[in-house]
Amino acid sequence: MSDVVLRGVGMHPFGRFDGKSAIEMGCDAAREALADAGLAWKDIDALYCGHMYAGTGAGHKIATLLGASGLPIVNVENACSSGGTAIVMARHALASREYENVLVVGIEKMPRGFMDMDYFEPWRQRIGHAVNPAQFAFAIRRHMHEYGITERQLALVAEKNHAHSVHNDRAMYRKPIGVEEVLASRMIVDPLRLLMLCTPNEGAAAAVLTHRAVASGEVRLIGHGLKTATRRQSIGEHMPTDAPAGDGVESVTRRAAAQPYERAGVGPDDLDVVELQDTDSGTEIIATEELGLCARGEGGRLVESGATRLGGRTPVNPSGGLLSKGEPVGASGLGQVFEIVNQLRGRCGPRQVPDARIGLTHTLGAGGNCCTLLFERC
Amino acid sequence: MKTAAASLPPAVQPGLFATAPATLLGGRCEACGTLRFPHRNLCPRCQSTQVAAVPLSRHGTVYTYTIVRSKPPGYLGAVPYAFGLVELPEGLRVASTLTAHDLETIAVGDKVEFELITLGEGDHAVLSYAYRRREKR
Repeated sequence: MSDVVLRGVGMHPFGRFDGKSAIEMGCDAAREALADAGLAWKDIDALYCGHMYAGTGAGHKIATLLGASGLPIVNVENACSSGGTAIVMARHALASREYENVLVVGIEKMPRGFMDMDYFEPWRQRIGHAVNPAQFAFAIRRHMHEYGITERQLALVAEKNHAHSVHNDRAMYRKPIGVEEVLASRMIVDPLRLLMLCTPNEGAAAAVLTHRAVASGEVRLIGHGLKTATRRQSIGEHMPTDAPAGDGVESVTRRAAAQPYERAGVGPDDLDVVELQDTDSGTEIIATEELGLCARGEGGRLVESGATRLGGRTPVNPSGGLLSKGEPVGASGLGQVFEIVNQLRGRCGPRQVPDARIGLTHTLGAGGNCCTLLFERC
Repeated sequence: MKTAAASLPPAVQPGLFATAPATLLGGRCEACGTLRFPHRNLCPRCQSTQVAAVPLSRHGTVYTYTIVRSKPPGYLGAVPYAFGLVELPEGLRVASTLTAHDLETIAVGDKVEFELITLGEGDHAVLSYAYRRREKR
């Protein structure tokens, strides 16, 4: 039986790198992934490149730096889910036996501050309705109203992820930050404060996927989900202008997680480690519920219990998450893959989750895209 | 952010709202009755192209909201401002600017009433829309 094996991973640190292009960072991440895989560039049959801001032919420019070999190249723009989507596309291509070895790279170099996105119509920008984090704020404000999530629980998410980041030399911020410091930081979009929101930044990450029988100790991709939000979801990263009233709508995260859980016969209780889209503290709390790590409305109490902290039942964002790494949107999904694959291979040093065998990544982005990837060490 | 006076600046986008009487304009599908905002000649439920522009309710409640405290790219108005989702009695939630005497006291469930607002100054001023929080007595 053949599998999609995560043969090698690489990551350019996330942060600010003046004078270095996204293409150059992507090239560094690709070379590390190739070395980790024990493969040469000439062994790669196809390249998928996830990005949002890098312009025309980003993957082609990376290939030119590595030495244009004539291979097929696909550039993938799916906002925050670009990297995850590129892995899904690579998985399909490998499963169809089109290729043997595929390189997937995610890159980004973003402006500072609120994202200026052409996703929104100009009139929405002019009247102040084109604000990404406002959508995060809408979601957690309503959740606080319905379930009593507290500001302190929101601050705890940031405190936890920053505590994890101390051990990750590829994260942008690597200092512990206390709950009181988070609660004292500037309000940006109520109820979310500066230290509850991730920083748009720069970086790259890469993975080499090979189609062959998995060997003992290797990591394989055992499932994925790729969905978009529906019209019935009044809040979300599809940033709707309207929605029908009414509750009980299945979130895009819940639907994107159901697919790999069902197909791989894995449940949320089986997960040893999770990297999820903590663009903000509220999104992490809601995502832990929607991925099934706890019941709906229990996400605040879950982080409070320590279950999602390193040493807890299911550590969430052991890398420090986007809150510590920052979010270079095209690269962030592959940054999660870098962490989960290294966790499953036992390579994470002081932030290692003991004997991690099954891990999940989760990205959620503009357009209402949600992508989950499920990995297993054999 | 002021309530629009007698001589109105140009609407930020045609078709979003009517001025006399002041209401949002939605689209109601003539085939299946589905409402949407803003109006488009395409129903998001049945894909019919027979959609009529209809006034939406002037009264609603705050479903969720935030207060934006830094100026986002392209925004013409002043900060801070409140932005939220208003649930209308006809069963539609719409994204809207929220206005109030004191933004800090806005809460989920508050009753709101439609109004037109002016954003920006002088030649750059545009007419936009908001739901104003009804002050508690």
